Amino acid sequence: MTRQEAGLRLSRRQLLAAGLGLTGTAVTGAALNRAWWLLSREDLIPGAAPTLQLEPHRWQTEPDRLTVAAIGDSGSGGRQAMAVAEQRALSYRRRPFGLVSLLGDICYYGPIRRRFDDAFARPMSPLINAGVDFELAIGNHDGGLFFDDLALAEIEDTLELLGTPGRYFTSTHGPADFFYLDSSKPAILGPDGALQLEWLDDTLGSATSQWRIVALHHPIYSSGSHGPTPHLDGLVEPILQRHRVDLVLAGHDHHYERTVPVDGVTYVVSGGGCKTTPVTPQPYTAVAESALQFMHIDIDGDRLTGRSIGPTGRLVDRFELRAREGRR
Amino acid sequence: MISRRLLGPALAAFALLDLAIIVAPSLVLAGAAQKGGLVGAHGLDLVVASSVLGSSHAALVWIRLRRQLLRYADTADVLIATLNATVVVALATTMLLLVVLGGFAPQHAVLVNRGWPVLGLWIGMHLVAMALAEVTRSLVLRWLDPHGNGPSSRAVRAEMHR
Repeated sequence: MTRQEAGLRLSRRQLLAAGLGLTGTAVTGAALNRAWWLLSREDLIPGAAPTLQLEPHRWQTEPDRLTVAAIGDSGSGGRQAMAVAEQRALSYRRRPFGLVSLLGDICYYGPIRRRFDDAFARPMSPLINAGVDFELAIGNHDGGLFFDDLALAEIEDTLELLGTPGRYFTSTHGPADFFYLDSSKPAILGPDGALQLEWLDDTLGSATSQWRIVALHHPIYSSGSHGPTPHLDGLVEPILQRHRVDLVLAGHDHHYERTVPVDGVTYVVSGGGCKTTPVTPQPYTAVAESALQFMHIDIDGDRLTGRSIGPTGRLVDRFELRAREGRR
Repeated sequence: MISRRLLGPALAAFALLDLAIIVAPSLVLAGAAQKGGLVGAHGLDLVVASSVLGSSHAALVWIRLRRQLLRYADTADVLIATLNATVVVALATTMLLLVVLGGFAPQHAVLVNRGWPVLGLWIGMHLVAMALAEVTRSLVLRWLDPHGNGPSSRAVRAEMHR
């Protein structure tokens, strides 16, 4: 009589193999759940760089006019990053800009020395060839209260490759002063944190341009997966309010979000440079969307128009700000 | 031998599961791109490639399983080996993508820059995952029946012994 005729009696090997298969099924279920979640939030498929040829130096920056693009978290070199990069180049063709404000995380999946060409130079190549300038608010590197050697080396490499003057700095373009911060925890709460905050206070206090725009990687207000950055709201936010900053641009969370003015300051998260994560709007949110996007900002006299543009050219958001009274 | 009443559902379950787990990563990627605003054909090439490969492998699983389940008296070996192979193809299809694409991003970027299509890499990883599943199925069957010539040998021996 066979085993089956005698009922379902399995041999020891069959039991072992069946047990392995069933255990594998349970483990695989949990692993795939996590892996697919990760896959949906990354941009791992390498992409082909945009090949658009742009007319160099077509922008016009005047004392009362400026056009600038801003993008955060774009450093994958993947297909989604390239789709956004192509749209950014097309946007230059429609409304040329001479400056791109980078809101951090310009390189994922490896050290920047190794990935610079693939994660930055290739996607940006149409703009680089057109002579556009890049200014960077550096990204993460905030494992603890102190930078470790690896983080410091990565920061140094990033600043050198981009030609960025320092971890925090200011620049003036037409009617706007830009203030780039290192918003990582060690740079705010660490031993040199007070220096940066003092510098910000002083520099904002002596700013003379009509518009004041602050760019940093970690958002002060965000409804995304990282959320607001706790070490910024008590230390940086009061300085921004005191000096009546107009617009704060951040990345870090991979979505688009604009707040209602908070004590007169409008906060934007523009972290959809190559990946997306979910967003749940909070009471301070005016517009929020989990979307690939970049920012296109026009300043014309006392009016600033911000546009968040998706990878197909769709307008994710459009807003207008008026210059603060007393500034000209 | 499995009854004909159970044969259809068993075949359909394994074949559909096989197809679903092979196609799933491409659907996850296409879905994420759509959600991010990349409407249209973005990621469709990967979905089509996975569907073609997944359908072929599912058909192979269906045909082989049907033949073995109808022919052999002792079906436990066949079902256990197929279960283990399904687990391997599920894990390998997704994990290979994460490890190979995430861990070797600079190398792939270089290939893409030289005009090497991503689709080739994608198909290659799927074929490796399927090959791993086939090897697993074969090894498990051999381990379960080390002296026999196939899944039926134990049943035949048992019959002769009787």
